[in-house]
Amino acid sequence: MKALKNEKILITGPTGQIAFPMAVELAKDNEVWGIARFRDGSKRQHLESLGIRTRSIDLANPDFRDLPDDFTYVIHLAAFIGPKPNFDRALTVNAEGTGLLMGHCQRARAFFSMSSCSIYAAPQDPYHPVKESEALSGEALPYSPTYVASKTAQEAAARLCARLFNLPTTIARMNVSYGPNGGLPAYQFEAMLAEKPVQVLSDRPSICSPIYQDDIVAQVGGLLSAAAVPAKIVNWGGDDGVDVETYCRYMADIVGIKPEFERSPHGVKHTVTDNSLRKAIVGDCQVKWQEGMRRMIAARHPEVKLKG
Amino acid sequence: MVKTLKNEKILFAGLTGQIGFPLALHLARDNEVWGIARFRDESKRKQLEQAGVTTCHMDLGRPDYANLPDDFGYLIHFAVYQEGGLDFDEAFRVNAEGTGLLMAHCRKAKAALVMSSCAVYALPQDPNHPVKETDPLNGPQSAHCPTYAVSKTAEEAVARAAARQLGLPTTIARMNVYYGTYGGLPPWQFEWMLAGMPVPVQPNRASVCSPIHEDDINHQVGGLLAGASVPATIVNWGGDEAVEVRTYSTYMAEITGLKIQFQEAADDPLAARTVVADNTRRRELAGNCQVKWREGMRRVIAARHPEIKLRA
Repeated sequence: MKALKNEKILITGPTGQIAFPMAVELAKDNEVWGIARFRDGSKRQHLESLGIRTRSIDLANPDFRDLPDDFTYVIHLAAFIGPKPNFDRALTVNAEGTGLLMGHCQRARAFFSMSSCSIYAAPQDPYHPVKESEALSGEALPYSPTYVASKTAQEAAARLCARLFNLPTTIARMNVSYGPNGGLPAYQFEAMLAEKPVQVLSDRPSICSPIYQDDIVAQVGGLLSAAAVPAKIVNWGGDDGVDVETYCRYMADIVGIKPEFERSPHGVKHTVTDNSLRKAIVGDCQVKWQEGMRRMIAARHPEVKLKG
Repeated sequence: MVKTLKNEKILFAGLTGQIGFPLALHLARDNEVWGIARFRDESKRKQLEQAGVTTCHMDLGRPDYANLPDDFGYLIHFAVYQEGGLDFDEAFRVNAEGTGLLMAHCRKAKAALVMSSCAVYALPQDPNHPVKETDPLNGPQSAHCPTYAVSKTAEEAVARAAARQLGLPTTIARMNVYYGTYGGLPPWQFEWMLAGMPVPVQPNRASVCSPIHEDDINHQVGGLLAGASVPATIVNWGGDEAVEVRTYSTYMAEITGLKIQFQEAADDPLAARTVVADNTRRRELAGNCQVKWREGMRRVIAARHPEIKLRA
């Protein structure tokens, strides 16, 4: 697997759940730049203090004049995700913004564009591992009606720009990410800790392929080295499919709390990913989900005692 | 008619389709029209050439623009991958990537018109609700072409990105229900009636739509191109009157003396799920429609079936 060293890397949205630990790790051996709107100045300062150079840029209306254009790699993790049905804004940021960014960085050796498994049409069989070539048309997410359509739109823009600029590109469809910096299992754990129910579907098991933060950080270099024209599209999930209820019960069990589930037909339809392509590029994941969830809880809640 | 295209050099992609073909013939009267398509139907290519259109074979998913001029005044892009299978990758290659590569080739143009579809809209709860351009996207998969709605959304995304990247003024038009001499949903439904087949309809939802006639398309294209901008202008392209599929089908049966039967079938690929378009923006750009739906359907039947005597 390829580690990134002595490269000039641009990361968009570097304060995000996945991006922040990645930026911190990559900054150890590389020149890392981060762009975002940075509405929270303290986060920006924190990044700067870790050796990451920052610029304030709004991808909806980007002014790239203060940003170099000689990055060797670009890792585009910024995305518009919001509860309002503002589709125009979502497409402006996620599709147009991606295209404009790729235009600015067209000299890079490779461009990484984050996508999401939510763009897949949910397969009839919830246990079916979804391949990259399977049907798109994901249902709108209950908490962000614009997300699925605009991430699909982002893939389209990235596919175009890969060909238009002859810019090798990887589009990675994230399944469920989690770790010390957050993610769905983290939020579900915190709900249980607050004695709130975890929401699950009533008519369908919620099987997903969670992938731990350390695996994500370790694999990004390899995924960039597989970038191609036309764009390489790859699922990015963990090696093991697991039911949301199963891992929630596990987390509750190791801290000695009782999980409650609220069943409703309106919720996120998760998918299990077929990871053959990702494995061929970067190999297996190193962190099993049980181990990852333990580490996540230990990092986020040092006050909670974990059973053996 | 707001703006007429005259003495322009126009590149027309997808000019063998039901909408593109009559429009290309119409535009060729007063303009230098170049047409690119795969031309699987040689007779159509001949007709176009006879009308003065310069044709050039092109696969938009894998284009070779080396022999095509790039000094077009306008680009009209109606070409679409609309096959029945589940090849989402090919649908994105043609409808999304192909659109962007085509726009890049025509970056010097004054404007581009990219055809989209009202299929990109999420179905509103109320089937009579006129959808605005800002209404929710995420259109459902249609059974006749599962890749269609999502790849047209992808096409819009690319057209939006390319408009800004290239500085190319662009109009993205979301077609509602088209009908004309060469086809469209109402003419096909009429053919089914004529063959003694029932017209499939959705069981639990009124199929209200905004059908627009060929002549109105031909007259409005100039206005839509004149309304092109950066960022892209997005506009619904439907007729001024909303009408239910059962209503217009019954009318077509009445004027031809045919018996009509409807078959309710949610899963029938031919049972259309339609929306009503809010046409405010299109009216601002291109004016009102000239052809009322009853008159339009009469004309279409007369053009396609001169052997049928129409009742008053």
